[in-house]
Amino acid sequence: MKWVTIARKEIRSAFRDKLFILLAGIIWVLLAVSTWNGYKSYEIVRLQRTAAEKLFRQEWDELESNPHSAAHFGTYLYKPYSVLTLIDNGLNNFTGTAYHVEAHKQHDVNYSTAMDTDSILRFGELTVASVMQLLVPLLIIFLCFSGISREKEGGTLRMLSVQGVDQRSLITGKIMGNFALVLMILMPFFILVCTGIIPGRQQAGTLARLIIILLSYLVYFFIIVSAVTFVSAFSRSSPAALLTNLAIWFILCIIIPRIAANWVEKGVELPSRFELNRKVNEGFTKGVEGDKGFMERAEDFRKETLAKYKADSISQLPVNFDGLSMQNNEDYNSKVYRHYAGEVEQLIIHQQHRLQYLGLINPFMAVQQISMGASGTDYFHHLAFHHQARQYRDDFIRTLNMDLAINGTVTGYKASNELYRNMPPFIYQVPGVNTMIGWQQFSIIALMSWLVLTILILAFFSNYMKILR
Amino acid sequence: MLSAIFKHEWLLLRRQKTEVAALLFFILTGLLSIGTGYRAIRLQSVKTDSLQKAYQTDFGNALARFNDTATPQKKVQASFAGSAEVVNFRLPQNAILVPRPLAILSLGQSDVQPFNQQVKTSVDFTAPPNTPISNPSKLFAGNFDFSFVLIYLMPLFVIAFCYPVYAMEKEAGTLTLLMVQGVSVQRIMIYKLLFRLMIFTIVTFILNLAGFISAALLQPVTGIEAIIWTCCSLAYLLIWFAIAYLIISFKRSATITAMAMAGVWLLLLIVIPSMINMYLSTRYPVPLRDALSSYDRHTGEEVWASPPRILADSFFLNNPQFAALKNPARDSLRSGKAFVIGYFDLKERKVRRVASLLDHEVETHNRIASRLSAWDPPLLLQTAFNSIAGTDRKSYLRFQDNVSQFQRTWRNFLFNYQMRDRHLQPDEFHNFPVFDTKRDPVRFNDYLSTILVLLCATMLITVWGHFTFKKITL
Repeated sequence: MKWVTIARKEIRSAFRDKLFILLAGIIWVLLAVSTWNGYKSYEIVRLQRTAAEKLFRQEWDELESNPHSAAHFGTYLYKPYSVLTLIDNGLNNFTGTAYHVEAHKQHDVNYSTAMDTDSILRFGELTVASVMQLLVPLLIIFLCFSGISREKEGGTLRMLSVQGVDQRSLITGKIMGNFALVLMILMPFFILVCTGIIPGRQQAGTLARLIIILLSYLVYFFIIVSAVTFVSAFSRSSPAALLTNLAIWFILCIIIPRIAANWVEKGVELPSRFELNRKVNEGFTKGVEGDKGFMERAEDFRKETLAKYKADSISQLPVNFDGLSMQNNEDYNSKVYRHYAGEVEQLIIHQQHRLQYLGLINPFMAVQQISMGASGTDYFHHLAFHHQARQYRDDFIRTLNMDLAINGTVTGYKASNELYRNMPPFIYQVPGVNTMIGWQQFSIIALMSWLVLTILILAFFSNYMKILR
Repeated sequence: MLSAIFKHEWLLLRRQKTEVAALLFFILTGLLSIGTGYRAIRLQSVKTDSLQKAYQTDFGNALARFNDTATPQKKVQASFAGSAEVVNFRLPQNAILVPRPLAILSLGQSDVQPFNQQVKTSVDFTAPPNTPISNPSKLFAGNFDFSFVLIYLMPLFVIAFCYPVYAMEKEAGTLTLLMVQGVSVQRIMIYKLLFRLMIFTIVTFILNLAGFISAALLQPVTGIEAIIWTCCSLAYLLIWFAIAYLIISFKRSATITAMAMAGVWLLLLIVIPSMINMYLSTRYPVPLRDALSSYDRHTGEEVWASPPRILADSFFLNNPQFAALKNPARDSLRSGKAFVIGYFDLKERKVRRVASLLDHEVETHNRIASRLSAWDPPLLLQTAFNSIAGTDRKSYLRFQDNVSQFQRTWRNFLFNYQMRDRHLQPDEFHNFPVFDTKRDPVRFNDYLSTILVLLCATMLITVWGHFTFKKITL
């Protein structure tokens, strides 16, 4: 087991190197600061949203009015943050924060932080995820870039060769040694995060999600350690190895994600907000999927209702026709919105899949998607919140319209406060771990492919590599 | 000596394929980013055009209703076709934010801020913002525009070209040879850096020019915009050469020099901005709009319950231009025009006060952000680029002010009919007020401080490098 000896030597020499201590210290400081920031942000958002929910719930509990006025009064739903946002805030700054429940109108999740801030937000936030995805790879580069090139420059490579150390053992030893060093730096942090998060976890699957995040990062770091070592083996000198690695880091972590985000839109252009709203309005008036127009639908519904209650006119109905008719329109409005907003969602999902495929050429993008997905801060979780909020909204309005239909036969009807107090609160059901894995399957496959490729190169090709001397 | 070194460096550059390839890569990336920005703004124009076409269709339909009396229902519609309330409902006016010419070079916040707004006689503070529909993953990744290439990429190429300037000579042994001949090593280093600065200035200039020409394909670019953009980008280039000079002056090995330069890049472009964001998100978090929404709803109910006379009086007091239309008998009725108009007017005034408190909180966040950005050259430059391109928050707020002014004009226009119980005639539809995007002119003085800050920082770093070079011996 020559590689074990080489790995041990790598670890011993790293501990003698001041640079290693300095880099480890920097990473620890950054992780500590970003964790504290993640916790503080999580607490601020949690308190803000709890207060807002309390305010709207209280308003609702005190309400005494006609159910239709109450439907117009509506309420607001806020996307709850998972404790894992402490690790990865993902797309939270760019997706909306609040969902408005009101009669006749279907909304998107609105009011993103990005909308209220200036371009500085686009430079990124210091989160545990950004340290793991961007800065730890740099630490690895600084740690390993000269792993093999140094041996060449010092002439020890030939000596090792004479002593019978084959290339595979050398490369494996360097990789395992440096990977062990990365683990030594990061493991205490991982353990601290786990012990900090697990006891206070409120949502099912938090532990499984946390494990997925940690495993993904470990795989990612292993791939990077291996890649940096391979580059070091192929480089003529240590400065050349450093520069090549830095160039690769910049291309993979900074340039490709931006170009990719613009590329995924090609051929999958999203409509303007105006266009979507107009389509929804027109769809409601003219009908969608071969349905009749508004006036004809209204007439059909009138006839159906009269037939159902065996009545000749609306005044003979034992129920309030306005309540039923409004609910009928709400149902149709939901159908129209689902139709057109669904088209937009499909376009974005298509773009998301394209982004995930790109994980096959860029492990950074794969780990970024997995990290966001497991933290519940990716597009799919946002969509899940929107769908649940929409379902809640439809049920909420239906309850009010049906109350009006059943009890609103009296002029000037006001529902008792009990109706409003008994309205169930909105509880966001966090999608299960399996669902999350399904959403992120391409990214997971991409990251695993990178791992398999790395191991294959190491196992079968490292002996045949032509290490430049 | 200058020309000899320049000649020598030129020959070296021609021989080193990697450096030539790197320069070509920089140029290609620059051109690609210009193309991306051009496409984004072009797409926005297409969306704006479709919006205007839709308005023209609605306008035509609204006029056609005057003469369409085919069915009893349409007859009723025809009789109301000129009603101010119907016009307000059917033909809300479009206020469109037309991008500035250089928006293609710096897309800034244009992808998260609404570029159009529908204007009606009343303002609904709880209405959802008209933000463009986008994939949040794209917003998160950021725009691949020319400002990104200049701010992020250019410094990396400067690093790649400058890090071996001293170490290479030292490792090749030529430095000792030069010193023996009594040649100033520091001067040689400066000349070598000047040669690289010249190359980058030319490349940046060419790319800027390509950007201006592309922008001009959509809208004419003014000379002053082009000059300010060029000055800002060159000042930023200078500061990176000064940083390179300072790090080289420590006379360390090529590896250490490259690592130090990469470290400075990381600090200025990743660590400091993300630290500032971290500070802002915890110290000045962006507020939720819950209080405003709640207040709006309660105020709506409270004002609606007010006696009609009070609402009418409040309206005439705050809108003296309509004072002549007072009609005490009619204004005391809930069916009177002054009741509904007074309701919206008073509610809007009340809610606006609370909204302005919220806006103040948001703007405090942004003011602090802007103040902190001034200490980081990349952030300072991004702010300047977005401002020249009109894609910053300030330009958006200016647009919002224009929209508010136009909303008052539109409101007064229709109220003149509504209050008099008069319907608009078809020919009067052509007298609708038109929204005009008033832009602040781009003035050199507004950017002078940014350029001066960058130049002063360059000078200070160069002086520091100068003394360090002298102090540290081989």
